This record gives sequence, structure tokens and C-alpha cells, in this order.
Amino acid sequence: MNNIMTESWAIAKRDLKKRYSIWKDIISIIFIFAILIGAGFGLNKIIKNQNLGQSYDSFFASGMIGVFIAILAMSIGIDLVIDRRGFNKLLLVAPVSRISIILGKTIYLFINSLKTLFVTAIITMIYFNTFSMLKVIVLVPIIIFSTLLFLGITLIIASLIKKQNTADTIFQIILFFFMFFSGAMYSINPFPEIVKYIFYINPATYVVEVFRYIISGSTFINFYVSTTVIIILAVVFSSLGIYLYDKKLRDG
Amino acid sequence: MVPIIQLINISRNYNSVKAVKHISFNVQKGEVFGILGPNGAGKTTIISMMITLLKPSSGKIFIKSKDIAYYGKEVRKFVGVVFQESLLDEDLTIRENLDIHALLYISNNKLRAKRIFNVMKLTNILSHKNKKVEELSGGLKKRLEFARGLLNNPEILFLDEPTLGLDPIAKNNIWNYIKHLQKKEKKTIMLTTNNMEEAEKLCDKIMIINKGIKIWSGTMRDMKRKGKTLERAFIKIVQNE
Repeated sequence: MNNIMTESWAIAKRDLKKRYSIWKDIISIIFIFAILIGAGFGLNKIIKNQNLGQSYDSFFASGMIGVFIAILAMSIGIDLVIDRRGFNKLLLVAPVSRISIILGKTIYLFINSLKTLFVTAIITMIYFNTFSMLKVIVLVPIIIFSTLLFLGITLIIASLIKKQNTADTIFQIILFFFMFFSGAMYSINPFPEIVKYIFYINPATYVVEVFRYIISGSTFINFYVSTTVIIILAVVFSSLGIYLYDKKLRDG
Repeated sequence: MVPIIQLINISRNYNSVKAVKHISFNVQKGEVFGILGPNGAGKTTIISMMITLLKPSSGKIFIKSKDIAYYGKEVRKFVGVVFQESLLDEDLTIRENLDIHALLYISNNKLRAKRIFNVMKLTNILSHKNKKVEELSGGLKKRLEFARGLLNNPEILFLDEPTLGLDPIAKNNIWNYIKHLQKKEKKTIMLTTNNMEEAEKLCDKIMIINKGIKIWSGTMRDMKRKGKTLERAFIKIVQNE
């Protein structure tokens, strides 16, 4: 366990040293917050009578943070599987476990990218007057499990598909699926029952709903149900993803 | 004597392409063993399998009597690798490059610092330690690659085309390091090359491969008997295959 922590930290340290910039963070936070609030505020004037239980801007901003987590986690997964050059190649011939490589890259993701979303989520809560310390504490494990879930999905797909072009196309389709069939931008309620099942089989729906509950206080799916689904899927997908990733590396 | 490296009937396929076909050879401790062959012969594929980067399609590889299919992580502790292409972080300094890499091998801070100092001294890059890699010449970069490959004080060093693209002076320096590593540091060295001069200067034994098949093996002296010059002998062996 101690070894895994040391190895993971070595990998994360290198990425942080190379890529970390406080200015990049500040600009990212302002940019994401501006998009969330700006787009939500603009649409707030157009979209009415959705029975959302809240204004559209708060509905949109809280949901989209869930989608941004999916995008970030998937980008790190793609980098892990596809980039076998450079430092990744050195990692593969060093006495470090595959779990350490994934953890190291994930630590970097958490520190460098997800903290941006974490801070954005807190600012969003303050903006919509829903801030509480308890919510901030709950946000941390939710971000970790949500990231593992999407990272796992990415590792599974990228490990199973051999051609880069095919993988890219599939990732684009999946991101659209996550964005438009998760209830991030509109309510699930008006859809026919049969269509709702599409939303229910989409893991992003549960992530979006959990973030919406934490940030804006309302949700279509029970918070505990969503959280349980996220934890179970995170464990299953990340375990399977690591297994397939390891297999792909050894098979070349 | 039990060989330190043992390949038994190794093959590697990329889909329908057979890159390496039924190759077997042994390397004894302290030897410099060279794999020679034309471009695309399968030299890098063989090294990649020995350093656990690629899994053989069939056959067995033993390093220090350990089957790398089962003891990959353990084997990686006592091998060092210098790749053909530069894998350095250009925007970091020499010291930072080594520090980050050493963390993967040595957890004790004092030991790590000592080891980094030793490899910088050994490869003669100590005076450049605070320079960024992007500011270094090709020869210095290669020396840094060597320093990184030696961080874990490996018993076996794998060098994939170690002097490719270097000028004659830098090339000569690298050859001297390799000789030093064999004679003074008692390392076993395995290298790939298609440079006859390099093979003659460094290798105790060589194996020639072409199209993934082993076509000849022996000492440089044996090879010289095949033609007037080493180049001619090499061409003769490859063409007569």
C-alpha cells in the first residue's frame, strides 16, 4: 500500500510540476462559472413552465458541472490508454503497478482539474445561496467516485477498441449521450416513460442528479439512490477498466 | 553457468504480421550482447519483449532465471533501459528529470539523492544539473538518458540503438561510457544496432536477425571471417539468408 502511494505520488508530482499553473486555474474557474451562469441566465428568460422546482439557471449550472466531470475524467482515461510514448513508456518499464499509474494520473486530475470544478461548484452554491459546509464535505467523495466511474468507462472502451479513429468517434457519441440524455440541460419528467429508460441507463444521469441536489437542492431521482448507483458503478467500471487496461498494455 | 538472459523460442505477431519468429539465445553475466539487423528486422520488438513492454505471442523469456511473464514487476527492478528516441521532459532540468524518475525506484530520500548524484557524476553531467533539457546538445541529452537508465543501479542495461543520430565525438563518448559500464560497473549490456563499427567496438557476441528470423550468431571475430570488411560480412550474411 505504501509502495502504491509513493509510486502514485511520483507520477502525480511529475504531471503537477510540468503542467500546474495557478493562473490557468483562476482563468478556468472564471471561464467555467461564466459559461454556466451566463448560459443559464440567458436561457432562464426563454425557458419557463418546466416545473423544475428552481430557476433554469440554477438547474442548468448544477447539472452541467456533472457533465464537465465526465469530460475531464474521460480525457485523462484517453491519455492513459492511447499515449504510450514519453513518460508513459518509461512508467511501463519501471517497477510500478498499473494501479499506481492510474492512481498517479488520477491524483493529478483531481488536483489540477477537478479542484477547478470543486471551486466552481462552491462559487455556484454561494451564487445561488445554497452553500453549506456539509455540502462541501459531501462534494469531495462524490467527485472522486464520479471520476472513477467515468475513468472506468473510458478505460474499458479505449482498451477494447484498437483503432484510434473508431475510439475517437465512440467517445464523441458517448459525450453527446452523457450531455443530452442525462437531464443536464432539461428535465427528464416531460419525456414518455419509454424514453425515460434511456436516461436511467445513462450513468451520467445519476451524477448530474447528485450534483444538482448538492448544489441547488432539488432532484428528480432520490439522492441516496443516485449515490449508491454511482458508488457501485464506480467500483465495477474502474475495476474492469484497470483489468482491461493492464491486459492491453501487456498484449501491446 | 546459468545465463542472465534466456530467450526460448520467442515469437511476436502484430495481427497477421509475424515480427519475430522463433528466436532463442542466451546472454551471460557481464557480456555485451548485440542484436544486429537491417531496419525493420525486429530488433526493437525483441528488446521491447525483454523489458516487459510487449508480451510475446509465444515462447519464454527468463531474466536472472525469472520468467518475466510472472515476475515482470520484480524483473523491472534490476533492468535499466535507454530507448532509441528521447523520452526526456524538455521543460524540466536535468536534476528534475532524474528526481522524478528516481521516485519510481527509490523511496528513501537520502538514498535517492545519493544515487542521483552518483549517476550524474558517472555520466559527467553534474555541472549541467540545473540546465533545462531543451538547452542541451544531442550528446548531453543521450548522457542524461543513460543517467536515467542507471538510476536503479541495474544489473542489465538495455540500449536500443544508443548512438543513433549522434555526431562522431558524442558517439565516441557514449561508446566509452558503455565500455566503462561493462568493465568497471560490471553491467550486462544488451544493445541493438545496425552500425558495424559500434558492434565491433562494444560487443562480445552478436546475433544477426532479418525479417524477424535469427540468421547468424557468434563473435565479431567469427563475423570478420565472413568478408573483407564487417559491412561486407553483414551484407553477405543477410543476403545469403
